[in-house]
Amino acid sequence: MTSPGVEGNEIALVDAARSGDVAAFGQLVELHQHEVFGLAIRLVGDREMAADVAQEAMIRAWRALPKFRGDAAFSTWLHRITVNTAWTLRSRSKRNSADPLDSLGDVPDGDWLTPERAGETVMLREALRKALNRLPEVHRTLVVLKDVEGWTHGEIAETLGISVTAAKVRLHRAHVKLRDYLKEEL
Amino acid sequence: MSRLRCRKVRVMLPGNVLGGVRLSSRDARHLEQCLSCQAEAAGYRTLRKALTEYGDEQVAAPPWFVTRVMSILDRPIPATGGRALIRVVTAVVVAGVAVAVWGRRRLVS
Repeated sequence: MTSPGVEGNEIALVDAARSGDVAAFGQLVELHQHEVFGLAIRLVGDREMAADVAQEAMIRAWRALPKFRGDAAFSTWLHRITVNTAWTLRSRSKRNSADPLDSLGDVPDGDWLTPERAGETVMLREALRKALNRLPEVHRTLVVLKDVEGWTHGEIAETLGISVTAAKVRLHRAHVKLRDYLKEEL
Repeated sequence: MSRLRCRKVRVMLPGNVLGGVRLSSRDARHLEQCLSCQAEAAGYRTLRKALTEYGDEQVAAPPWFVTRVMSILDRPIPATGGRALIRVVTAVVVAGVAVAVWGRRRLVS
C-alpha cells in the first residue's frame, strides 16, 4: 500500500517526467524497478530476458509518457506496458526455456521459516516454475496476471486484446494444464 | 457415484478452488462423498498453495538496472523510419541536382 505522501510525490514526479524531466523519470524507474522486473521474470521465466523486458518497458514508458492521461495509476499503466513488451520480446526471441534454478537470482534467505517449511516452499516454487515453463505463452501470461498479480479478468482482457469470456475460458484451460504439470513435477 | 456428476464437479473445481466460485449444494455434497473428485480438488489446492508461494517470493532488479535504463534515455533517439526516409529523399534530390548541374556544364562546354 502506498502512503498518501508517496502517492502525491509520485504524481509530481509523473507530471515532471511528462514535461521532459529525465531526472524525475529516473526516480520513477528507481521506485518501480523491482515490481516491473518481478512481473517481467514471472512472465518470461528467464532472468536475462526479464532484464531486457523491464528495460524496454521503461524506455517505452518514457516515450509514451506525453500520452499518459492519468486515468489509471502510473504503476498500472507501467505494468500494462511491461506485459505488452514481454509479449513482443518473447515472440521475437527463440529462447523459451530457462534454467529454473537460475531464474530468480535474488531470493530472500527465508530465515523466518522452519527448515521443513522452507524446504517445502522451495520445492513447490521450483515445481511451479518448471510447470509454468511448460505452459503455452498465453496461458502462462493469464495465470501470472490473474493468480500472482491479482488482475481482474477485465483488466487482463483489455491488455491482451481479448474478450472477458475468452480470458476466463483460457484461464480455466491453463489451470487444468498447470495442475497436471505441477503434479508431474512434484 | 454418478460419472456425469463427477464430470460436472471437475469442470467447476478450478474456479472453485482458485477463483472462489461456489459449488451448488448438490455438487458440494458430491465432493464430500467422492474420493476421486476429492483427489482432483487436492491437486488444485496444491496449485493454489504453489501460486501463493511463488507470488510471495521477493524479486529484486539487477543492481545496474536503473543506471542502464538512464544511460539509454540520455542517448539521442535514433532516426525513426520517417526521419530516415526524409534523409534518403534529401540525399537523392541533392545528388540529382548535382548530376544535372554537372551534365549541363558539360553540354555548354
